[in-house]
Amino acid sequence: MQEERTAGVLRLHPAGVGEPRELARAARGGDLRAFETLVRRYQRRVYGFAYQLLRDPDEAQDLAQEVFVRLYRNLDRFDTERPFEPWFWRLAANVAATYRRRRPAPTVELPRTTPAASPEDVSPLERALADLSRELRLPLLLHYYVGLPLDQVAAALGLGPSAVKSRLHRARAVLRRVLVDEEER
Amino acid sequence: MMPVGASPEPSAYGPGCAEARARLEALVDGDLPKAQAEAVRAHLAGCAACRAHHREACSLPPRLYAICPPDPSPDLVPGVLARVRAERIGPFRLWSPLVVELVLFALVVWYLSGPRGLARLVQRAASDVGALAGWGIGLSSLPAVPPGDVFLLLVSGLLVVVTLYHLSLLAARLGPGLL
Repeated sequence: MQEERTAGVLRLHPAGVGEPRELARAARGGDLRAFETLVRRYQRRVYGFAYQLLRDPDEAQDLAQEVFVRLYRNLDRFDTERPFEPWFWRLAANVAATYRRRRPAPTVELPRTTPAASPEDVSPLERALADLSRELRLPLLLHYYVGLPLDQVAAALGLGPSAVKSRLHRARAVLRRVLVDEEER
Repeated sequence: MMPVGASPEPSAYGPGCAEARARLEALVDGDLPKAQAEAVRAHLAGCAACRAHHREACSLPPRLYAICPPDPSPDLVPGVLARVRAERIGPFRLWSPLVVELVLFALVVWYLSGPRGLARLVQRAASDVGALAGWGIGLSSLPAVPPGDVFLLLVSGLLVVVTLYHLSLLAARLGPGLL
């Protein structure tokens, strides 16, 4: 459904381009429809990233909106000779890192899961993920949830690849210990 | 609540368990040097508790990839576009209607010439209404409209239109909660 809508916008877009870099270039030149296409393309991943980080739908919506507004403000700084995604996720990670909650963090609610995974299996994982320190959660989400390769996570967070790998290992070790503990109970 | 990152390693493990468990994620990712990987595997072969940790370590990456958050609200894109459109209103466009408003306002004030002028205008309007009523019941002919009143009406109408436009710009630029 979402992809159909995005495809519709792409067909309507006069430039007829689908590359994020091209869309960013057009948006930078003042093409609001290109910007809209860009937002529609990334809204699900940005919102999901924000949701996993904040565990509150309204706060996640607010953060996602902030990410896109900051994207618009910073389009002039995007080097159109380079790939869009690492630059964009670096911006998103920066916005997320400095985001201040407007309301207190809620208690963890039951997550939605993929149909293949049973709730008993995924719930403890998401609960553990929600309790992870932000320093460990951010690289984990960028790599596994957003799907960025390690070098792009490193670029997004301003860290070296080995530091990112180390944080990913630490984060997974923490999750693993929590999950094993839960199983043993 | 204490972040999970600060929780201690479970204490129920034997010699070599701590070292093996500390290397499980690197083992799963294939990042361990061969000798260390062999040592961890040898430990796993003889330690059921660490094998449980290893199973969990192996299952984590695909489970993390499979996490599915809720869909964003349909208001997300319109909300972003509204904020972006508002940011496109530059300071010149935002404040230039103020000049027009001031000119029109000054024109109205000049035309009315203070309270005395306003009283004259009310008098004239009442006389116009009376003449129109007389025309309506057939006592007199249709009165001629004084050109000054039409001018004032036009200027006032223009002032209202410019002010409404300016308020809409300010609402978009400074946020809907302002007005």
